[in-house]
Amino acid sequence: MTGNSNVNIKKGSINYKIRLAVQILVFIVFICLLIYADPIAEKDGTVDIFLRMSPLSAIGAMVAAKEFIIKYWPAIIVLAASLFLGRFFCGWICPLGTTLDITDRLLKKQRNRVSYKIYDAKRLKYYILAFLLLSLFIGHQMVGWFDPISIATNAYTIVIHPYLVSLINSFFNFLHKFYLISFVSDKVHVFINEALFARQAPFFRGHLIFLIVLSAIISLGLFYKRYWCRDLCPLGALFALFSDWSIFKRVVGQNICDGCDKCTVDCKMGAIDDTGKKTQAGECILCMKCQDICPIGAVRFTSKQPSEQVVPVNLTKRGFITACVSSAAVAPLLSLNFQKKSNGDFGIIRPPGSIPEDKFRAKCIRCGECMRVCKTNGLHPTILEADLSGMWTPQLIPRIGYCAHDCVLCTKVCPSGAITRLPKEKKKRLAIGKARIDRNRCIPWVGYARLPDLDKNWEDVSCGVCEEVCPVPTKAIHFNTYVHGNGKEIRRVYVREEACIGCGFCEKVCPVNGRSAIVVEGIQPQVMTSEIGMLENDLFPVSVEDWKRKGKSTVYAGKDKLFEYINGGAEVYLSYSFIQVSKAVYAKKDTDNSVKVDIWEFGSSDDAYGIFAKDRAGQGVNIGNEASLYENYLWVWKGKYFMSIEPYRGNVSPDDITFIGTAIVDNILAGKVSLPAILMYLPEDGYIQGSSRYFHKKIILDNIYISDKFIDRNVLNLSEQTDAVVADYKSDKSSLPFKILIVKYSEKSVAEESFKNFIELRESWGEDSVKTDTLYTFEDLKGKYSSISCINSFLVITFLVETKKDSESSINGVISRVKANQG
Amino acid sequence: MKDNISRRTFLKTGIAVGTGLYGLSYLSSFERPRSLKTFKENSLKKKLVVVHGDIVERNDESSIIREMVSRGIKAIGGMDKLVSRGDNVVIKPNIAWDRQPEYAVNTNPFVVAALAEMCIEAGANRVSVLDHTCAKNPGPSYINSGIEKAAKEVGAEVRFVNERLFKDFKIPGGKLLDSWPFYEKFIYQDEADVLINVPIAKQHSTSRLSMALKNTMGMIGGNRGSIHKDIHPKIADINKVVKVDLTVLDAFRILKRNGPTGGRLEDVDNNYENARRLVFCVDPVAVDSYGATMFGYHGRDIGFIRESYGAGLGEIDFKLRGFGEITI
Repeated sequence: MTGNSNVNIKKGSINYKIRLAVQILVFIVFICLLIYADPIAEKDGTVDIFLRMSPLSAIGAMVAAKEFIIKYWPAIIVLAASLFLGRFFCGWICPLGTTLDITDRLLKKQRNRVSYKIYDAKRLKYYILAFLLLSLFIGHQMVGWFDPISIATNAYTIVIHPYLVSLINSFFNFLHKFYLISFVSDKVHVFINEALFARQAPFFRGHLIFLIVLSAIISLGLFYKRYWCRDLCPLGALFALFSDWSIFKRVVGQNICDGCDKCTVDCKMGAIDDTGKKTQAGECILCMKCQDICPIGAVRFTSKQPSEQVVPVNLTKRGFITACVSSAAVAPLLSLNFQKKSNGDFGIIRPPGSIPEDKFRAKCIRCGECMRVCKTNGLHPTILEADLSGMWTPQLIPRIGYCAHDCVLCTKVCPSGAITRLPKEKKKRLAIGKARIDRNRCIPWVGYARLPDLDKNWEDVSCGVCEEVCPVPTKAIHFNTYVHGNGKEIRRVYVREEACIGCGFCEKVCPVNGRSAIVVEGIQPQVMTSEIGMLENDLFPVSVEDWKRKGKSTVYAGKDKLFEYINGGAEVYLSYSFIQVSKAVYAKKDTDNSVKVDIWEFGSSDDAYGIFAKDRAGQGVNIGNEASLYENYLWVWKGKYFMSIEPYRGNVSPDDITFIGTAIVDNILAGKVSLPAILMYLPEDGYIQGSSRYFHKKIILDNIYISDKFIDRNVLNLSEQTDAVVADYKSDKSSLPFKILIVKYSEKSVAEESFKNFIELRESWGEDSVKTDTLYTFEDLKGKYSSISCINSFLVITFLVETKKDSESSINGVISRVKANQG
Repeated sequence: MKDNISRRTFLKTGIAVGTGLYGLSYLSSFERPRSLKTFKENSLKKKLVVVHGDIVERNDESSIIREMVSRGIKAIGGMDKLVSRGDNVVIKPNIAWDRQPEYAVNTNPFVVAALAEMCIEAGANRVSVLDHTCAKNPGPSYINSGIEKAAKEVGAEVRFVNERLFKDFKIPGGKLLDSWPFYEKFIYQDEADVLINVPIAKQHSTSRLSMALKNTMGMIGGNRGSIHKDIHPKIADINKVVKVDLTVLDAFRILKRNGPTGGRLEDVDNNYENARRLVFCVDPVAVDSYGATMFGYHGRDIGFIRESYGAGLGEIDFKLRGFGEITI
């Protein structure tokens, strides 16, 4: 190594050798943690310990996410240690530093030609640090791209390991073809593969991009040793700023130093000035090289540095301001949303356990550790899918690798908590995306569309590989079998969205060439799927005295299955949070009489009430939470369930119906249940009992007579998020009742917009309006009045009122109730 | 060392290296003739043997199954009638999915272990256990199915399928497939003298049932998804190539619904009346035909059994060549 080894070295440095040993050891640990990341993470080992040692990413993640992350305790220790030990981390621990030491040694010969040809901008790293830290406050976490440990992890994960493995594989695959050699080489290959823990060569999209970045960092070593560390590394800059109290400062014996210049030349950080006596403490990484090579042993490391040997950090105001200004300018530029997607929903699939998108970007330090451990090689860095600011965050690409059902490795290795830990049981039910079928590509669907052709010349178009591999125990993909006239079947596939966990196994295996016919789109935030299939039998007793259940009950869960059950009118049920319906038939012993029982399950008891109230008729009976009986038809609401019982065959009396109804309903467990909250805003005066209808979507309102003209457009912006109730009121002047509609929006702005829309609509009908404050009253062609007002996020409308006074007083009645409850 | 090389040296070495490499790759393109596996000559009885056994506690499973396997093999003649000294035995269980044994989607590990042990006792040179998993990464499937551990304990080799060792083979008399990539280990004589297929009986969404004949899909590569179109004749086609010497159907637990991946214990049938048995026979069609009865079908109801019978791969009437039942 040393050029002129003929100069007798009086005193080598034991410190230097210790450092070298520690550095190599630490590096081996780092590499082993990466190679054996899978088995170590499986045993809950701390694979991510190196990443958690970086104070830079710790600060980045914490500031950007605005919370304290306890997982970063090693970083705090490292930072505290740097107060006393200076930049020891760079010289002793940093894996990128070690990598550069190795490559610098390889480039030694080449360096002689071009060294010092570019400016040695030691101050640059401080400006980069300032740039990164400032951008954190503007709301962008770019720290991950510059953190040396992230870079090192990425370098080995995304570039070096895959390249190495595929090189080895192709070499041994070549040898395998030779009969005699393959006897030995195959065994060696198996051994190497097992040692490197790579059964198949991992592959990462965008590896070329990182190769270029890595090559650039390495080839800067042609100009200066450790160019990255001395001029660019923001983590190094952070340590340098903290290194003033170091107890290991380089001190040169003034009197014995003969100024041989050796240390100045060999210092890879350029921390020593030309005389060899002055040292810039912030640049020294304690590699102890100068102590090792000093021919007269004049170098020591102590806490007291003579003031004439100190070189302070030399930052310019101009540089600092430039860094700050450019940060303020660049950070918003990076977040330019060129995908033109609103609310940050890019449809990319984040790993399971990922926190909501904006927090995820703040916390993710782009280290690639999750991609390293992904067992199916399904996690890849995003390039531009998540915009520039989200570059290099993890994304599941199902066509390359799906999310294994029983695997939670990525949740275990995330150093910053962007992916939170998940127990396996929970992970199996967590939806990270939803699958959709492209009916123009799906084999059975295309076959079904080609029925006329098939009719002439039948061929099998069944497929169902997606259904086969679906890991959801009750299957999130179902068949709807079409039976043709000739008895042949086409099994069309449907996705049950509420059960789908978005693992992407279906997309991976879809046999359609090229783009899959079933595609998973990521959802944010990730939600738990509900367990389906529990209604079956549990709610239907085998017999109710003389009445026996005929066979098993049939369950129709999810949207597609509901269409199978009731083709027309299913939208009505779907406008509430429909989960499933099951049907059973009970027959009375020794008679021909039988009844049909449907039990509907909804996402909330409010929605079950909505369906119950939607078309109730007849008299109220005391079953469940509420019930009504009309001749021999019974409707019951209880908790999240709505039950309907109707005669099926023979003569069934109302008594029979209520008897069975009571027995079955008693079987259903429901906790304390109350009416939907919005119902309390309905005034009591004149309210016609049982006339209230509770709903969310426009389709229900369409079926209620509120005006002579049909309102085509969704002027009231009704959606899943809105709660609405409409009720009938008695009028003194007329035999016909009038109606009050109350709509509650999730946001005030929507309520105001709907208010405006409605007024515009009435005006477009050519109706005159009378306005008092925020209350508008319209008179229609038949002389009926309709008023509208808006308060907070509520919209109150009356319809078909006989007099203007009644109309306005009804509105005021509701408004005072809203005010009383909100104030 | 001289730094510069002359134009002449450059050309010379270039041509020499190029010829050398080309020669090497030319040599490597020669394939050594390897004979395909044939059925192993054996003196096993042709009858179908069903062994019933039940467990009270989970801990008994290992020993009970061992007993069942050894009684069953004895009833068809004994392992030494099939495996001779120095044979290479390949056991093909179903390890397709990453699930634990109690979900009944992978072959029971103790059945595999017991068979491997008996082969070793009979003097087999090497017993390898492998399957081409449906999961992309075979590791978790091998571990969670319990097969890797159980088979290694008795001294069998457990290997992952290597993607480069699939080779296209002609399918003689193939109805829909002319050729398909098969895995070398199951096909060549020098890799396998004896091939034992150890499937599990389960419901399957595409082929209705998955048993012995369907399990051979774990011996093939290529675009396996495309097999699912017109699956029944294709399964028969594949079975025309693989020469399975003995089939042992694991029906100790059977998966009744939501196959082939399962994942709910409610879907697994553990009843003594319906499951809790092992089926032994040299004829895979007979095994499947018997297996179908456990799911309430007849052999003829299932397309691939019918097709395989039609192709002459075995008898659909499982009692034709003799039938024996043993209860433990």
